Amino acid sequence: MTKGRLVTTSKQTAPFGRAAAALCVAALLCAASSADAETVKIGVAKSTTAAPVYVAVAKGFFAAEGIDPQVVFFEAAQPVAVAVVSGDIDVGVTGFTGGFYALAGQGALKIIGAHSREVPGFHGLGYFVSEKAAAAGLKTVKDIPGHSVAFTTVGSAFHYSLALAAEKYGFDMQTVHLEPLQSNPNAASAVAGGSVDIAMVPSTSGLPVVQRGQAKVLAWVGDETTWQLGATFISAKTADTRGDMVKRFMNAYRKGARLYHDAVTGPDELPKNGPQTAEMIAIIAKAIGQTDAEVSTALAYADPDERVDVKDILHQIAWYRAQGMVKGEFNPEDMIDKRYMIPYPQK
Amino acid sequence: MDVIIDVKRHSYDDLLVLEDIKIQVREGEIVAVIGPSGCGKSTLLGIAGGILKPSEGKVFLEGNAPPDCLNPLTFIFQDFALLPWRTVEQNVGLPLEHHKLSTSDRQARIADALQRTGLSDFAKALPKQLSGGMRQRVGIARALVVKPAVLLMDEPLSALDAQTRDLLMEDFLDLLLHERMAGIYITHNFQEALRLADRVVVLSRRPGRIKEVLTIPIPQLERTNKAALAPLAELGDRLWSLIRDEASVADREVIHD
Amino acid sequence: MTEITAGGASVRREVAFRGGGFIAMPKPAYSWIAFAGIIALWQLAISAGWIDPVFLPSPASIVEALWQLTVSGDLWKHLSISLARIGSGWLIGSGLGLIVGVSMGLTSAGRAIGMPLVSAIYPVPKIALLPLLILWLGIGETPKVVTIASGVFFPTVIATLAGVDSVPRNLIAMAQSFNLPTRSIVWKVLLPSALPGILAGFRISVSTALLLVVAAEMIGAQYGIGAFLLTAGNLMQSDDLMAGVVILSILGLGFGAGLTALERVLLRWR
Repeated sequence: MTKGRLVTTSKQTAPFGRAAAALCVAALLCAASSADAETVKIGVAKSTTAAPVYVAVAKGFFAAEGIDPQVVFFEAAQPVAVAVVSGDIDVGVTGFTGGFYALAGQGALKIIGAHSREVPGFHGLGYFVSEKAAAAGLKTVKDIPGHSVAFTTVGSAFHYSLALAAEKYGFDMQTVHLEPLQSNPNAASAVAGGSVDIAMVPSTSGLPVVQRGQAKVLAWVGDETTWQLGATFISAKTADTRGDMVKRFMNAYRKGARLYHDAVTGPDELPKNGPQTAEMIAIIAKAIGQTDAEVSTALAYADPDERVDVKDILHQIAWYRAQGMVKGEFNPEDMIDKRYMIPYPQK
Repeated sequence: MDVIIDVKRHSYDDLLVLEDIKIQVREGEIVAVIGPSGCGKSTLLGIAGGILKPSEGKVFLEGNAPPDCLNPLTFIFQDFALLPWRTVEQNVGLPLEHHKLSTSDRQARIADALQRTGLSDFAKALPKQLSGGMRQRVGIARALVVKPAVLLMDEPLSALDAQTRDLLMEDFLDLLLHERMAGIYITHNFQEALRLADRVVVLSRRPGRIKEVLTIPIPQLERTNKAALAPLAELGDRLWSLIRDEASVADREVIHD
Repeated sequence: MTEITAGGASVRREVAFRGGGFIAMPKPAYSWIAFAGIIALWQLAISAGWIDPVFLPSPASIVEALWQLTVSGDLWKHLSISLARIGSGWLIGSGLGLIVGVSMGLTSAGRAIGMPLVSAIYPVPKIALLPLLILWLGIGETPKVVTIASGVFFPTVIATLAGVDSVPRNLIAMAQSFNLPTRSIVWKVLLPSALPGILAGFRISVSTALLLVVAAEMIGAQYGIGAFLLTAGNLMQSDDLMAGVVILSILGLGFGAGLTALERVLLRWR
């Protein structure tokens, strides 16, 4: 589950197999492709979080590496992982899900790079509090115990973010009433109507409710708990047989990430509005079919080198396992392919 | 109790079906109405029984119904109109259910009707288990149970095969002759008319008008005698010549409903 | 058929049989053999490595998942909660559907008002309305039951209306000719006669209720077969997912068998 727009519920009805490919909307972003370029299908969820991909495509970084990139949009993160396993997609760039770890744990997926991170200042995922609960004194994340929290699904990025907050503030997750409502609009609707005290949704779903005066921003996940939202990943087979392509892909992808990072992030690693910001917003808006204004409120952070926070990933897997959401014995380190990735420096 | 039918005209939308029909049937008299298909015979019976509203005209009852009569004008239907989910006795009992009767009176009426139609052994049977002839006996029993004053019979034998028809016709006659009922018997079969009726009303093809009324001067019980054969055959020829041309033209018409 | 030979004598030939076929004969053994064969082939394909269990869990692992569900007691928890939702949603939806269907069948006004409304609202996908439903009804049991009831309501209305329309008019005329009161005509003639159509509608609405339990349990449900299926799908636990599908299938078969038994009792007269 990535931040951004998850506008469908169809992922629940066809959650595995090649059927997932039927959910895709193929979009050829790069019209000019040289005849001998190697075609690489890149699966992303339709959101701002895959910004470096769009930038690298628009700037011709992939073409320069002899790659003809075909960006395939999915309505949610999980089907991308399934499509990479089935071979319908070469490279996936999406958020982590319980399903992702289940597939990776069976050795089917290899992590080769990062995806967006939740960091301070960037408003990706948020805690939105109902007017009623806010009036009754629900002011900070610390006050969440005893309240009801709506989000998409058990095992989603929201669920994990809340667990991180529970660790940080030392409250028991058992004291929180979790209400999985399957989609972001459902969760936003529940908080707007006051059926739940808090909705954890992406800014794109939550801010309209705030603008209508039906909810308030309680906190942003990035300000509360920093963590790596997802990964760039390939199938184990691709990792072993198409190493040259993967390396060229990562070169181009990192160029896009660097350009995007420097355009929207200041030296303090906080959002900035620089001379190139508008161009980045325009590229993203065109790629995902939203207005510039919509994109500008939902810009995601990208690591300039797409470095992988291994320790964070191990922490995530430990949590999923403790919840019984990822089963089976496997070594989490095996799902990260060190041939291609750059590790994130640990403090 | 007499029934007087006076239909000036009756039409469906723009289609004139019946015109100038005046028939009076006296207590104890059986009138057969015969005519080519589509001449409005069944419509006329529906009007007589008050389940169709004539465009212009009225129907009257004159005299007193028998004291135990619950439904003076009672139908016997061509397709029996039995409720398939009810047993024979439940079908026969249906017309009694909304009347205030003692249980014993109710049971006596049902038992009597079943006995007179030879259905006593089939009281618990469902319609689907019965032959066509037996089903129509249920229809007759259901009519008898209300002790009708006027019996309206809409081609009651036409859905049956020839053998069953002959057998049932004799039983019918037996019932009709033992009651002081007025009877209107719709048919397209002039043999049935000749066997049962005191008078035969011949209708023309659509719009149905009275073409001729024939009186059969031989009592029903004597019509099987040898002496009756010749005059009946003559009446039969007369009837046939009256309806043959009408039937032949009617057969070539396009059906409008 | 005869043929005239040169000598003028006729040759006798037997007429060859050329009828038969085109009739469905009950062969229950075939169903079971085919069923067992498919399961065996499925298991073999996975054991032999022809199909990656990532895509399709093996029958053995599905049975294992079912077993785990049963011994942990979760199966009963999920089932009882879902059955309560299906039961109450179905009862409300089909009860209202019967009333509306009969009113539409009996009165011209009811038909004039109801027909366009039914045609307009029936095809609206209920899942698309979930955000609104949550806004109106919250996230408790009410929206779940309403989701199922609304899905059951429309097929019931349509089946009831068709059932009432198919009542032979001569039965109504017969009842009127004996002066039966209108209420008696409805209860004693119309409804029993429409019953086969109404029961056929129940067959559809019961399946619809099973389908919709998944949609209903999208709304803040921790327990229930639908919630279990959704969670298994979200976590890519394909053995649990298939176990849930098997449970739904068994429920569907059970309800179907129940309705068949009901039809056998109520429609004995057919």
